[in-house]
Amino acid sequence: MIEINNVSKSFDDIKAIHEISLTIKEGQVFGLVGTNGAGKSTLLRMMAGVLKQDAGSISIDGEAVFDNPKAKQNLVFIADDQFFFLNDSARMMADYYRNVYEHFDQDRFLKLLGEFGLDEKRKIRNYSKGMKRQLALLLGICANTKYLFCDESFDGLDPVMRQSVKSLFASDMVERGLTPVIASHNLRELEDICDHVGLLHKGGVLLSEDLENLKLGIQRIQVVFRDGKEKEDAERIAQKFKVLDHSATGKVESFTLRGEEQNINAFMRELEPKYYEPLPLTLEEIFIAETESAGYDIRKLILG
Amino acid sequence: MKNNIRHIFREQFKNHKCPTALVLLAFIMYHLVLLPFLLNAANNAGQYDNESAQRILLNLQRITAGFLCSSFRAWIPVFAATILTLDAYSYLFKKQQIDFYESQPVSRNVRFHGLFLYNLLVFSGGLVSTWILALAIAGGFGALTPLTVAGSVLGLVRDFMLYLAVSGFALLAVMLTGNMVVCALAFFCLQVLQPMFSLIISQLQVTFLKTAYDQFSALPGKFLSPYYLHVKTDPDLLNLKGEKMYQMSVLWTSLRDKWMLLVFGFVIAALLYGVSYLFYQKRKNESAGSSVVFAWVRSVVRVILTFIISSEVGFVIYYIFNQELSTASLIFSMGLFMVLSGAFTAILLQIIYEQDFRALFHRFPELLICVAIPMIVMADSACLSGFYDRRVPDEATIQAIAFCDQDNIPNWMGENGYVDDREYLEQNYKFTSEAQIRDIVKLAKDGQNYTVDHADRFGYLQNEDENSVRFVVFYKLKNGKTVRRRFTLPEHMDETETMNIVRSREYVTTLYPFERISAGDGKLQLRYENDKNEKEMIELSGADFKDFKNAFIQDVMDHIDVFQGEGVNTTNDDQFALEYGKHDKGVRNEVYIAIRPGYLRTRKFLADHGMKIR
Repeated sequence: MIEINNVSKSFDDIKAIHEISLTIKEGQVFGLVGTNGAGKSTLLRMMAGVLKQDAGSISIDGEAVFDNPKAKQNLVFIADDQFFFLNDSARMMADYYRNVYEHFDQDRFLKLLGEFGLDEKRKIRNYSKGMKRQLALLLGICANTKYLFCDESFDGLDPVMRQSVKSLFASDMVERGLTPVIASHNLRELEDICDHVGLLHKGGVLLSEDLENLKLGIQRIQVVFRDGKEKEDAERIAQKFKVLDHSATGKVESFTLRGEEQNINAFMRELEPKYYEPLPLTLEEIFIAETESAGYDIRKLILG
Repeated sequence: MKNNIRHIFREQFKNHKCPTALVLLAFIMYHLVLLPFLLNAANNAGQYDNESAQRILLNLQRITAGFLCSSFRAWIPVFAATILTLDAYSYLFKKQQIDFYESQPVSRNVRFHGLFLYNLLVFSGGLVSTWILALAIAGGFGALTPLTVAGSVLGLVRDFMLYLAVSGFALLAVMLTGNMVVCALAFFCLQVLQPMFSLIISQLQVTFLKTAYDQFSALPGKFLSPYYLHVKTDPDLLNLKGEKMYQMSVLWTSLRDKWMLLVFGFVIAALLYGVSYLFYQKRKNESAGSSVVFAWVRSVVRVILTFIISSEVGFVIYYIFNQELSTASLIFSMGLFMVLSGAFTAILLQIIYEQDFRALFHRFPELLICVAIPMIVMADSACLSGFYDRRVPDEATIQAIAFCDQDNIPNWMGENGYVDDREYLEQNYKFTSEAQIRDIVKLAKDGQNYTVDHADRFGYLQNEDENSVRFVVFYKLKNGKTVRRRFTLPEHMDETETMNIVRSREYVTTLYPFERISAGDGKLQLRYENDKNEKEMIELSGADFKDFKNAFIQDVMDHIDVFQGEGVNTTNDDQFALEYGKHDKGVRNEVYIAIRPGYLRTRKFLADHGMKIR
């Protein structure tokens, strides 16, 4: 488990992180979301032991992480701009990682390299940006550490590669209990992989919640009320459930409601609308709804 | 930890081949290409010129001694320390590499020490392996002697010291800065800091103090420079004047006198390493890419560099215009240029720190302080000089005095070798009686006051028509301290005290330190050659030399006239060469003395011993 307690970090006069507390449990995919400058990379680098926090503590499985080789044996950090020895080939980089991480799986790495279409003997300086990203991810996965920290690592990957990497994450989580922590500004990218998301904004945590709980607690419905009952039925809905969002296009009205799906469905059946359909919510829409209710205009914060 | 060190070594060897290769190349070029080339060339040239085998061998031995024992090779440890250290630790300047290395399960301490050890291994391996081969090559030419081998071992130790110290400077520069450009500037500044401060102190002394004599250059600052220590510990085995190489005793003598300097060099290196390590611990990884890592260091550097540059500009203006301008104009000019140069330096540094041209006047109060400090120091020095220049220690506090004509201090090749003026006088505190001390103190008071009022800053009087003599006086105080002064005495101030002092045995034996002379393994020879090429030579046994010495000293005491420049030969007819010393140094020492026509006792001695002179 990774515990972050009241951590703050400043760079000269700029407060990059301000009293953040988070807990990242093992066996889940944790997504760190936020706009540029929110503090995602800074937090991730402190968790990886690259930066030292000004206040608070960060521990991995009970061990403080900064300058602690024992704690760092359990993690590998894939930076947004990963460093390679450019005169090395992929194989030579793997040799380096094998000397650093005691459980590095060379055979698996070479196998995956082939599956991903990367040439093990080609100099890394001749790789494209996307190939370097793939290589970084494969090296990280094959390090066989308990925690894998990825800082915007999916940028530059094509959709097929992205899915492949996500599959690898999933299988490693099942087989050896990998716990990935992925930082990204792209909610849509994280939606189908993360179990838990934390939203950072201006150095603080706006939200930290299990995705399932988020989704269970919010529903979006589209409804056409009976003629003459539009206002009355809308009021009845508002009385029964908390309305996070309400819009209308002609006679079709959309509601975002806080509540469980079966309760809302049962209530809507009682209203006997002309048309009713529950709609799936994206992570982005959930966030917008949740944060607007907290008083933030999240549309300005989230980049699509 | 052992595994991590090995991992670091492996990584450095694999991924930092270029600096390693350059260092090894430097050693190979020096030891294995240049040395055999020069030995071969000297051998061939000697044979072509039909030189004797002995002569050729001597040349080869000299070349070998120069290459392996002297400071010729010093550039390689400097080059190696610079390139290896800056390359190894440059990862601290790049965020990408910081993320890569610092997230790995390798202790920061292990990385710091491991990189240093690897570099030391590269340097040592290159130096020792090529040195062994160089010895073999020199041996093949017959150019090796036991002295050369021993001297080259000393050379290895000296080069290690230099490497470690320069590496310490480079390491400190890396730890204080955040990018390679500023690091290179810092590396340069750290190394010239001590010489620059020494220069400024001596310039303050020369500019403002008319009666100071080498007082402030006795400060130990120069010992902080590994370059100075490297040069001073050169055993100087070349013996370019002699017909064969020195014996081993020369090396032991050199080592006996200089081993402390070597030890001090290693201590400096260790201190630099320790301080660098402390800064490394305090350094934040997010400082990669910035100019100077620690905010307080920026201020300190700004003050120091502004002080140095502004002071030097002030001195330059003084030296150029001090004869042309009035005092007020000179002060104004110095002040103006010091303000401009100081402000420019401080502003430029601020721009470098913030990497932004708009940072011109940021931290303005600090800028004002930087500009003010050198001017305050200059003004203080000028004001204090009057007090300093006239001050003579109280008689009651003086234990002994060394006193001599500044222009005739003998630098004889005594048994312990050449000594400079200050060292010589430190060995000659001969005036110890109360009467002598009283006379010298009175003379010094009058002389110093006269010098302040009438002499230029070099001690020369404005009135060139009158003879004068510049005296140097060292006071050894009862509390152990030493006070050094000089003053100029014009002939019209030739006082009773002057005669008492300069006609004393203590003064004359200071000018003619015959007690430093021995026959060595031969006999003392006194030679004479006049303008008509008439040559005479007599050999003096120990007893004869004693008689000669007594006669000569007494004659000088009776006839000395310091205002006529005693010790300076008047004519060639009066010039005698006294040869002394041991042959095993390759050459004997010689000193020239004037035996004037009025030195009757001495001339009688020479005549009694068969020397015909005009």
